[in-house]
Amino acid sequence: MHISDGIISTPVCLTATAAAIGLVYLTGRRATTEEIPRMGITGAALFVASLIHFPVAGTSIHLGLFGIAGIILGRRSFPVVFTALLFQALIFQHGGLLTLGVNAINMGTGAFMAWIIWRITAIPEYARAALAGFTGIIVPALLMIAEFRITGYGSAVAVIALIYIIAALIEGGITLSAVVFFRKVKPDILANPVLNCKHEKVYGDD
Amino acid sequence: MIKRAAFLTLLIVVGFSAGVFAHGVNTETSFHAGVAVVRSTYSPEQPLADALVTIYSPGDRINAWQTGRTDKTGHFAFLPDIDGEWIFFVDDQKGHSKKTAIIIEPDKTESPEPDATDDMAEHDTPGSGPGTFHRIILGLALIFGITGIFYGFRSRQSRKQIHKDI
Repeated sequence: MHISDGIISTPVCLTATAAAIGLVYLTGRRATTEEIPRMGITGAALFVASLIHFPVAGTSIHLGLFGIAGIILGRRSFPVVFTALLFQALIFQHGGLLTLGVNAINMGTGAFMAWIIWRITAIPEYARAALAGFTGIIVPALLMIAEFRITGYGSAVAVIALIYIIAALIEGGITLSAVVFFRKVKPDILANPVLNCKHEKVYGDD
Repeated sequence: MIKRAAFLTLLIVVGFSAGVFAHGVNTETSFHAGVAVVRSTYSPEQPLADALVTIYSPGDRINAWQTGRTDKTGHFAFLPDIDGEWIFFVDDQKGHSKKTAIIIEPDKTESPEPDATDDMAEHDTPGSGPGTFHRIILGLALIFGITGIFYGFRSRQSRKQIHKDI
């Protein structure tokens, strides 16, 4: 899931990093005092989750928790994903600093799509949760494959999708379990984050 | 206020930078058919490529038995000619190094018992970085620290605005 330095061309990486920094500002500004601790805890979970590996089909996959991040944080998940990836790259050399923007856009889009799915209230909640978890992984995987193809890698990179389908199914199950847990112990965390934002007046953002 | 928060964040990041950029060197050893192979890595994805290797035989800890460099995947292979504790020292010449003791046991030259691997004493030299657990703690501390700074900054802004409104 994490693209290392040297795989994607430098101009693309730099453009993506600039775009990602802009998105961090746009999606992170006006965060309320209620949201900031939630963002910190989710960021910590994302940071640690990538270290939990599962052996699959001769390779290993790891947790992402982007679906849960999208459900809990909504659009605020993008700065959280960016921060978690930054520290993963700095501390564990997981991914790369040059590809930070590409990785953040890939995984941030996954979290954002998970949030979109979570908002479709016509779907039963538990189905939405599982689907959001699945989407949180499969969308970044598809974006990653598309970037590899654009960079010039052959069609064989599509095999990555098969591996990530398994990861996405695991993630869907974990997201479902998390939603069931939150619904029992702290249901307000599953409320629409944007609606919560509107309830609190934000000072000093001008 | 923004400048102060930004400066504080910068101070924390710079303060931790020595630890952040320090890599921990890990080595994995295998021994088969008389050939010892050591793979040196910063992390599973990042090998110590082209790092300087020095090997000391069990009978001579002063003069190097062999020197060389790891390949691009971090591997180095050598053929121990006697049983005993061999010292494998790898140095990337960027401040990261590790010394590993490799025990070649008598009559087990084809394939070492699992215990032989367990006996390998690995010693982090001062140049080695923190282990995985310490890095996790470091990352979590940074994330929670930044969260605390932003939380404090935002709540102070809110309080000031409330006082103004009153």
